[in-house]
Amino acid sequence: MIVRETRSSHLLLCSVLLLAGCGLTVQQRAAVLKFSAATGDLATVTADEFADSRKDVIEMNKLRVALRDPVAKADQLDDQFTLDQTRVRVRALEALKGYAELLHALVTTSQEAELKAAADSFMTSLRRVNGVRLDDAQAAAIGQAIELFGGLWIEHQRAAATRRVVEVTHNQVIGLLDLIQRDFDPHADHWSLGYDATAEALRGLALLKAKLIDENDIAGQAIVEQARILAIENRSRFQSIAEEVRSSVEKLRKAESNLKYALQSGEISVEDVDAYLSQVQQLVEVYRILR
Amino acid sequence: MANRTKKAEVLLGRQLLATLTDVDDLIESTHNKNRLKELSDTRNKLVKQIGILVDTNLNSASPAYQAATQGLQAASAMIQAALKGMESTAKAITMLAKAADLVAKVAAV
Repeated sequence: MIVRETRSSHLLLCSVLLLAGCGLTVQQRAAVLKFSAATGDLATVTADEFADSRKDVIEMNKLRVALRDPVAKADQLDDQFTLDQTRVRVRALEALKGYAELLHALVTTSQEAELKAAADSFMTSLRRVNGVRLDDAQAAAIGQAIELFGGLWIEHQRAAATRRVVEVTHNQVIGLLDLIQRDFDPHADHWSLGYDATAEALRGLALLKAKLIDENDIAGQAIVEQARILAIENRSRFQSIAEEVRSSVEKLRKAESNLKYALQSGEISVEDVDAYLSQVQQLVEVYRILR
Repeated sequence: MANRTKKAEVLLGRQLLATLTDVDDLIESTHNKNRLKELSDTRNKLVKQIGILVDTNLNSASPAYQAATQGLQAASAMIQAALKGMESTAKAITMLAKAADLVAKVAAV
């Protein structure tokens, strides 16, 4: 079949070829997946620890009250680790995790099955229209073109949305990581200081009461010893978890920076070139059938 | 000067905790009741001061956490909109199919 090559069909082919190069690269997808994995780790461990720290402080303060610490208050066992303070931190981590999960979905979700079904449905309907005459090869080629074009358009949307969202959110993520880092920093004066101070208050109280308690007061001596051990164990536990949190924060910080760089970078891999060539080949075949 | 003052403020809580730990260690080695009473009063003051400092710092950090939460929730909403946009490509083609069906029915009449 000899058909005149029209300028518009050339333009269409060129536009579609350009679109084929506008999706996310292999490195960019990998950077998003690394980011979402690192976020999952951090968010789970850290949210749990904020809640556990609060429980520990309540436990330690119960013993302080039992040992008649004049500074500990029975109606304020959580001290500075109020529900509000804990909630505001846990919510931030939930928002971070939710964001990472959605970003993962944005990069991995496939519309392939839906596109194929839609393209098939369209071709079936088109062939029913009076005056439309298409042989099987042409119908298949049109269907394929619709899927291909639809798929490329979706990849373009995916890439544009991912770049925009990461660009806009980068500072928020880094800012949140700084806050978490500070809360678990053994040299800072925030969450970790509150925890350490409660444990030390209990330890010191136990040492003091051990000096004052009657030798025959076995129950009293048992509480004092329980307090001393709990203070030491809790402080040790918190130090280990805080180190884990800080390590997860650093991992996520690197993943976020890598993600931002990868999305701004024009680097492509051999796999990207192969994928592009395969798409071009598909397009050319479809174009030949439809010419 | 402001930076040095800020750094000293940041370390103050840790200095107070270190002092508390020293006082507690002294308690361990003291047997004199009057001395124990003095050390106990000192440690109570230190515990209170640290508590006030931590309270202030945790309160000052809350707005920053809330701002981060709002920012991330807004970003999540952007992604959800993008996902809907991607779904609408297939839906648009399906709508075209329905339109073609309609054309076929009208032409057959």
